[in-house]
Amino acid sequence: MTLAFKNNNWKWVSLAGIILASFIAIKLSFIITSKTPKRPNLLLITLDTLRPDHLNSYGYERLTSPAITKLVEDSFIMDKAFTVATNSGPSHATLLTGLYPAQHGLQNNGQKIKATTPTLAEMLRQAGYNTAGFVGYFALAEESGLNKGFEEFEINPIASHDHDHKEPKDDLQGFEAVADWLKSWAESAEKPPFFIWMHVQNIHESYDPPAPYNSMFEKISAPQTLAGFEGEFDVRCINDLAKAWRAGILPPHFKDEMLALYDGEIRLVDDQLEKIFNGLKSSGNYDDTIIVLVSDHGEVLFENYENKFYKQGPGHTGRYSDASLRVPLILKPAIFHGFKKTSRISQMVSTVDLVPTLLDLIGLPVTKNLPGASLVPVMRLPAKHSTPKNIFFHEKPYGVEYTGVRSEQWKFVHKLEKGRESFLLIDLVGDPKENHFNDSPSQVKAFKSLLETWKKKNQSIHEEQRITEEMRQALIEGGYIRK
Amino acid sequence: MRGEQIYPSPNRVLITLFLLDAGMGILHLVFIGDPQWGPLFNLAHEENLPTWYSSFQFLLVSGSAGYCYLIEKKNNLGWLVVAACMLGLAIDETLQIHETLIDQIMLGDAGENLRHYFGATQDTDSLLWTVVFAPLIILAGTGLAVFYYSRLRNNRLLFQLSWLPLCLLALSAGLEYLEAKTLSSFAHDSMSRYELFTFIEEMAELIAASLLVWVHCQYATLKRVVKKATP
Repeated sequence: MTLAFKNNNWKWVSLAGIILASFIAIKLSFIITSKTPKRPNLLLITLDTLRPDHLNSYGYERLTSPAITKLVEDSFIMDKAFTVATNSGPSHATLLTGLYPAQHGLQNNGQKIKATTPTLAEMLRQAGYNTAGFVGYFALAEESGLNKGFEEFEINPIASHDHDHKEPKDDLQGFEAVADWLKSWAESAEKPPFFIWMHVQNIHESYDPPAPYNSMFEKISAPQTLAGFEGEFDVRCINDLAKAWRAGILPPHFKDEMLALYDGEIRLVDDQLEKIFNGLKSSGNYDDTIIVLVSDHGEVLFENYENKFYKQGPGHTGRYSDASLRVPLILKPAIFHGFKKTSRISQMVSTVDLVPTLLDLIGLPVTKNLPGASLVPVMRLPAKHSTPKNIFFHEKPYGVEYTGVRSEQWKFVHKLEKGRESFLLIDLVGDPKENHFNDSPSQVKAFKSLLETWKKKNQSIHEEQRITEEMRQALIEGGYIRK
Repeated sequence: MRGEQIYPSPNRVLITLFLLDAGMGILHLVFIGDPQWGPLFNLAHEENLPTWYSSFQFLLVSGSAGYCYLIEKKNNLGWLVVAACMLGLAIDETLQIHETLIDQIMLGDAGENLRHYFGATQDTDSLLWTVVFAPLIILAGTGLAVFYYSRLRNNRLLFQLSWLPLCLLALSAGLEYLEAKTLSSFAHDSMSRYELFTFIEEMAELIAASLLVWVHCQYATLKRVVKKATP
């Protein structure tokens, strides 16, 4: 039996092969000879425990952050950014992996991400970046696994709880380490793009900045006795403040003093950041650098929540009010990204969106496996694009599992503690103080179903990984985890 | 009769090669997690048993094409070209010439442009060779397809089975590009997907080479029979 191309069709097959090969060859020659794309530098600054409403660019009146305000002139500022976790470890792991805590495996301080969890630093290192990480907190140190992909990784801890013996330079060494690294990078002959992760611990409790920041906004009282308070009361000590406030014996002026100290910490950080931004400008690298300023969670200060679902402030872990969940997110693109103008983004965004956004800006593939989405389309055309209508959060601080969702109007939180379930439903628009779990069954049903679907899609990819006993003890001593 | 017996049956050759292919696949799967023996049998690695076996297979393909050249008396220059190409592939498998070439190309701005365009990272440079050499691969593939058509079209099965390995080799090249994309991606399962793609790609290559050996042997056998029957 003869099987043949009709009418010498084999000639057409040959011709088709030649044309296809030629087309690809021409296309490849265009790609190879085109102007080499620039990879921007990336400076990711995570400001631990910073509330957006204490920054001038978010409307705060006290002058806490002039340098950040200046940065905002060149940046996109997200008005409604929310974290996925109120604990530093899980939240930072999300900022560095783009995964939810149950996916990257770090669901509580004192755990670590799984060895196979990919990180932004690994990705950028593979793309030829110089990578360096500078952290100021033990739960983010190497044992957390968040050093994955960083060629250099330093920890410069802040002596938060040692009020009388700490040296002022202790509070600045993290900034100096970053400034030194940038200086030596700028002076080096070969300059592959850099990715620096700079974690700033100063704003985290206890609020005790060095002079002049400790008296910049308010005169601070010396340690003293307080009616009904056992021992000497020190406003700089977070445990003293929390105890007195929760017992209802804290005189109002101490609240003002504490806020002044918190703001003093922010101002210290702002002044240090100004030096780093100026260093980038003077070395000619500011325009080519993406700068991201974000916090891992906010802070409940003296807000009262009548629903009793959350623990009172000051603090942040396991408190799912917006004071704790809402974070500042400021993103300065590189100049060659060609954004015609920067703007305020008023749509809700999540910190899980940060990694896909950065990959998009850097020109690396954003895979579908990441649960978040790039914000670049919204940044380019905010009127045309929208972000998801729900923001999810999940973590397991102190062995209690919290899962929640926030929309523009509602917030729903599921708490699982020793097998006991409890729920919180807040009407953020109509009645933000009350728990509407019992009187809004249809909303509860809808949110329960939404959380179930979300959990199925985004959880249980990795088993929990614990760190060593030695590190656990260090974290307990620092007050970061419980015994 | 005695003269006939010195030629191995093409079907037996194919079965033997398929068994060896399967053995390579099994050894890969069994030892993949073994730090001592894994590298020796890993299909994704170079300079190990599967690479040497693959090189040997392409030598067989080349040799069998050379034999076809000797058997066929007219219009047989094509067989020599096929033999030369396959010999080149055999050498390349062992000496990793295409890897060395692509590494050189990817060193400068050209490499950075290619990585940017195809969304790949530096670690996957050696996997992008299928993209860079795509025009050559397409030309070679088209040439082989047309040549096999010209020589084998009178035997439907043989003709079809000569195109099947070409399709498998094309699949293999495509998968190599996908491996580069997968490894460059920011996904928690990228390594496991890469391993799956590698396994399929390397097995496709081994099976393709085995089939080509069979096609050549079968063609030579048929030619011998025809020659013998021709007065």
